[in-house]
Amino acid sequence: MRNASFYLSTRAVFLRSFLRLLTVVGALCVGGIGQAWAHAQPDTQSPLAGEIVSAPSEVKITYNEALEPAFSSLIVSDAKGKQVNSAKAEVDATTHKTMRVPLPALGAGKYQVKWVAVADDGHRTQGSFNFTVK
Amino acid sequence: MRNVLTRAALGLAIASLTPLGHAHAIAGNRIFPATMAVDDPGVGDELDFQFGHIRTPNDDDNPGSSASVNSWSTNYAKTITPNLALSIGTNYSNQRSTGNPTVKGFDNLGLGIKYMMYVNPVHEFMLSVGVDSEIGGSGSKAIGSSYSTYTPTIYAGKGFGDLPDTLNWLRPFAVTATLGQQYASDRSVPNALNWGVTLQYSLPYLQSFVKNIGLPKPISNMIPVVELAMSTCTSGSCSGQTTGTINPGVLWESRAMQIGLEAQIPANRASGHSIGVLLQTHFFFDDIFPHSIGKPIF
Ligand SMILES: [Cu+2]
Repeated sequence: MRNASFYLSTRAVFLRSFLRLLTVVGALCVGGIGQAWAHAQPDTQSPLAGEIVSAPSEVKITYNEALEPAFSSLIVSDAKGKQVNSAKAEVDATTHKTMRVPLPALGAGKYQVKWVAVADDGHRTQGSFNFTVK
Repeated sequence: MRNVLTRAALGLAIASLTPLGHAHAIAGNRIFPATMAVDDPGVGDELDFQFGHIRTPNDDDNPGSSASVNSWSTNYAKTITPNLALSIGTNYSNQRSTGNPTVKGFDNLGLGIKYMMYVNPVHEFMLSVGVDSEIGGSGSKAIGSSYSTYTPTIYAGKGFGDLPDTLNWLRPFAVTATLGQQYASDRSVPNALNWGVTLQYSLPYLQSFVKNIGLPKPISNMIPVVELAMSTCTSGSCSGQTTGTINPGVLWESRAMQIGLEAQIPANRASGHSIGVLLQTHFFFDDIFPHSIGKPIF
């Protein structure tokens, strides 16, 4: 029955170490607040990836961190690869987190969205997804 | 006895408990997560903590006896240039085998260098090379070995986002692999081929890039993964013997950190007979401190 007590003590040691680790983690997270985050990833997007929609008036992606408007872009193209948006994508002036582009009246078919998001320290992420207009 | 314990721990410890130089790795739409037992192909600024528990066999004098190993490991990687990183790490381990006193202490210091050679964003492919080393005698006498090891390693990752639309459900899959030949400074210590493979399915990738199926958080931030962390002895009397673990688990991603949980299933009889566990917290310093310590020096 040494094993039982062994496991208990192991668990205690583990718990203590884990708590210590969580403290470090907490300190690091607090230290990180107020800093710009670096790798922008989409939080919400409309249309959604793979969604079948009636002709949308815009494509809008909200990221988990602020973008650098000058270097970020969003292009929508049709099934033949031809760009359908004529206006340039704009980044929301206050939060810098939402990028949107107005769309002309789209016919039925498959469309591809390609985005590039550059965070303010120059870290660059990109992504692409499709949606279908019914 | 120390030798037996050291040897028992060595195979699995090197194969699965001491990852060096995890990284934040992006190729096109793909982010390769910092997998726990097999190093990912990226280079980045990051800090990794892992706890591992497993029983390893004492194959030598007493068949059937085993050592219970708890290991707390930490690793810090720092980018020198955006493509080149140095890493430093160690682990504290506590080993107990039936009928023997507990052996505990710090393992040898691990130093690593890694260079990202090639990234193909369209095909979500990434290739890096590096050398991992453990400095002999830098750890405690009880745990660390007196000799050093050097392991030149190739790291690769491939995401399947370039598959055609008809195979949409497969596009969130990715595989990564590592292959490293380990040499020891002591000639009587056998060399080993350390190899690892991971298969991962990225739910964030599915949601954002393929088809949003409306998964709620935190599930939409999870990456189920299976890792194979193996070591094949390539010289001496153990030549040809392979030990390692198969680790199914899940990684939870956020913009600045990652949490992981995996089971460690011995891959064969020589690798043990009971299931272990790996627990990870991982911080992406390039995201947390992008303007200071998370930035490449040059
Ligand atoms: Cu990052």
